[in-house]
Amino acid sequence: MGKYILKRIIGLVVLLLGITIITFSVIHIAPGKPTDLEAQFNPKVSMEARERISHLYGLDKPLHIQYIAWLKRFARFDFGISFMDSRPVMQKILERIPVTLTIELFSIILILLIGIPIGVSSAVKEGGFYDRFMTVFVFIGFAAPTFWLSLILMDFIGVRWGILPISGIKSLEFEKFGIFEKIIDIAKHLTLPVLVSAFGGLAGISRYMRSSMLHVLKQDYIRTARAKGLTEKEVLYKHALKNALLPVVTIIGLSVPGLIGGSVIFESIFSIPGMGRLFYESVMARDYPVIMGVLVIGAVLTLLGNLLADISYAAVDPRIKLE
Amino acid sequence: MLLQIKDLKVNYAGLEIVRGIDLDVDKGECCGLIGESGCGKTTVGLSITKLIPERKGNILAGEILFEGRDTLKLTSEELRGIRGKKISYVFQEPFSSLNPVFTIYEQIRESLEEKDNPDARIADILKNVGLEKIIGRKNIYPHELSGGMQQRAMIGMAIASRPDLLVLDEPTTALDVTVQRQILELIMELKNKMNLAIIFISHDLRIVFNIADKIAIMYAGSIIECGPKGKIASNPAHPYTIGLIDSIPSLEHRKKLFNAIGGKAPLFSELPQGCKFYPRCRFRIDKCLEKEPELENVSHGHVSRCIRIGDIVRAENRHNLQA
Amino acid sequence: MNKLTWFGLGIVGFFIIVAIFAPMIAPYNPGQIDIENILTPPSSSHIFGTDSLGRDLFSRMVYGARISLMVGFIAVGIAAIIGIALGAIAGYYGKWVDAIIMRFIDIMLCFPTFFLILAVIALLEPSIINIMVIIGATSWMGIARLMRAEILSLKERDFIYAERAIGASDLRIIARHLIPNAMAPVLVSITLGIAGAILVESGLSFLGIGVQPPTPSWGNILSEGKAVMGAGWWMMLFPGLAIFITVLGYNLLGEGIRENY
Repeated sequence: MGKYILKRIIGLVVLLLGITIITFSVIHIAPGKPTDLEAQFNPKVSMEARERISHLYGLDKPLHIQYIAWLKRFARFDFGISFMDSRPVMQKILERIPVTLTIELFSIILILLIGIPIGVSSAVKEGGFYDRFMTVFVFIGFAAPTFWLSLILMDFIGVRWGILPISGIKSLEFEKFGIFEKIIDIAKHLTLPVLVSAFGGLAGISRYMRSSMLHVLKQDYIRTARAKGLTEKEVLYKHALKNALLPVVTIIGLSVPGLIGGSVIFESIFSIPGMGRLFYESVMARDYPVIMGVLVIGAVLTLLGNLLADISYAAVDPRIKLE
Repeated sequence: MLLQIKDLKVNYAGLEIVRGIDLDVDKGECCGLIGESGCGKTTVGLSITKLIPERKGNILAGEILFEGRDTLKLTSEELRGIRGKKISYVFQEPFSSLNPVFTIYEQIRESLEEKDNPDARIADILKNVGLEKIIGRKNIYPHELSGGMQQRAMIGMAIASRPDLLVLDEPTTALDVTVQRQILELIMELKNKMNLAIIFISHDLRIVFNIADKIAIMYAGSIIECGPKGKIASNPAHPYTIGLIDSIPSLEHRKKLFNAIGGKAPLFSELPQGCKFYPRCRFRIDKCLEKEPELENVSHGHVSRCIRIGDIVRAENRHNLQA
Repeated sequence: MNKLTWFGLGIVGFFIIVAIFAPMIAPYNPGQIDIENILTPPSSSHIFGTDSLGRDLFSRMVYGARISLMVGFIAVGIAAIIGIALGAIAGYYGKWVDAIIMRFIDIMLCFPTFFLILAVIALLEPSIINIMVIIGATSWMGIARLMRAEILSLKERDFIYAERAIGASDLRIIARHLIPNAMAPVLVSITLGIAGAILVESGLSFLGIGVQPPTPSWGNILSEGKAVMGAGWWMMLFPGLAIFITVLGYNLLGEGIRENY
């Protein structure tokens, strides 16, 4: 196990270096210097701030020196100071990460709890009415834009029927609540964002689970299990399911960037103070240091998600040698 | 009689690929079922306990009497009492036939009879199939064994519940030649020790001559010749059988009267009129095209589906005399 | 082809026709402001109603189809060119070329695509051309991987050896023989990619960082719809439906192609 993880971590370092190169290039994509751009788009940027960012990125120095400086800051997670409120970028991001991760975690759990049974039962009843119904549902899930879905839910459940709150993560009178009421309050606020965030991923996972299960059901060892006289339940839910579930572990890891990327949309719609909304606000204000910081952190979170998925995969699949 | 197959007809993927098969197997008898790939022999084996995947195939007609009961009429509950308990299977590819995510121990344990103490019985089985090495090693997975050892494990699973009948579907085809030998010896040893009846499905007449008491040769979905091993070997009475025997390299001392069979087996979608072997037959006459021949007696217990049995037997005798 | 594929093809064809003949289909000038008729619900004179400036929603949506489809096609065109080229090069040359390209793909896949797009847009201005280029430049990785896998299996075939034996150049082998034979799965990816690009564009426009008003796009109309939530349901319903149905069409068509090649 140790050697496997070590190998993975070396691969990770290569990817991290790549991430720094790409973010570094993004800084230089702009036709003018970012500093000019800041001044041009954001009147708030004072001369002082321009000098600060120029110094931060060392834009007056040769490229390779700039890159090494960028790498050094990256290693310290030092992304400079926000234009908007002059606070350290990393501090702003760290404040926002828990909210986003909480929502992602709940939506991943929801996706798995609903998506896996849908996929498995569709595969078992391949071609039947249920399977075809679910296929249609999945296509709808793939095609429905999350922002439209969010708006519809907001309009009906929030505005018209007033069942759930539609903005922020806590009520105004939150501080006056007891601990139990506080939990209920946050849960109410998070329900719609979690539902919306889960909806898009649900279609993908259930489709994936279906094809994984169908693939497994065609394998020789399923015939062996039947030939042994096992019950259909044992054949499907012991012999087939365990094999079909293995690749899903990887898919969860791979879906992390999509979920984080999607957070921009629903967090800004539901005014949730997470990383996605921070990113959106920074883009609108051209708050350059924050944009770069969130971009890098988003990529690092994706990397961690993939690493976690790989390690869990190795842990559940006996065929992967851990020694 | 332990097993009697009567006029079995099976539809697979829309084509009738088993076209009326009769076959008897006695207690302790080993019956070889021979034929080219795609002739329907595997389907016959699977039909015995209705293991044909429902979506792909169905049994059209016939009876399969096992200990006097027609397995085709049993409920799935009753079938499970027979599958793996009284009739066990060993398939061609041991690696794909073993479930990769369960240990060998667990997979054998599933096949045990309830009265047995699992650990003691599994140790006993592993000893019987020559896997002493992994006795007590409960965390061994299939991929950790060699192909030959995997097939031993499959055989262990098959004999775990002390069955009366083993259906072996090309059990040595996927193995190295030296390992084939060992597996065949193991099968013979177990057969004698446990008084097992065996249906040995193979495309390789040479192997079947080594192991079987009785041989049935299939061509295009029906049996074209069947009889005791000795009679088939010394006195083949169907042009196809003669071709098969002539293509065995180890029997090359026979002076070649007939070359190996030319051409290819017909597709089930375009079976010829009359005798199905007509297009490839060296003995063909126009009368062969009139209707498909019935199985006729050659001698006691020896039948052949050819209208020119007399001519063939005479030609063969002359040839043998010359040799 | 099954019924769903035909249905998908029908949707795709319908919206392409609408986009091409927009000036003939739209009953009003999409930019014509009418202060007398602000936020009127669907009626015989304005079948989809009017927006908060009194503009005819149906006409704006018809012109919006042009923008959405154009962005989808060109963005995916760019992604296809990058993806096919890099994938073919990686698959054909193998070794370190392959290793570098594959690592590059891995790195690109680490970024939440939407973040990367937003970051670049923050630097450049959100013009339609920039949006198409950015979407294209961040969505070619899947196509490249598919192309590479196909080329890997194709390049060992006899006809490629034969080409090499008669002295064909690498470029000729790749462009004339390998890529055309590897296109089937890539085509599926391209079709699904158009759906994805339309979704991304409308998402960006919805957030106000995509196609900028007054140019109509389904996404920015929906964004205006959000502003008048509760007062103009048609502003939310129709653009959302248009995006949904278009994306559904391309997805169905893509799946249909996948099952048929």
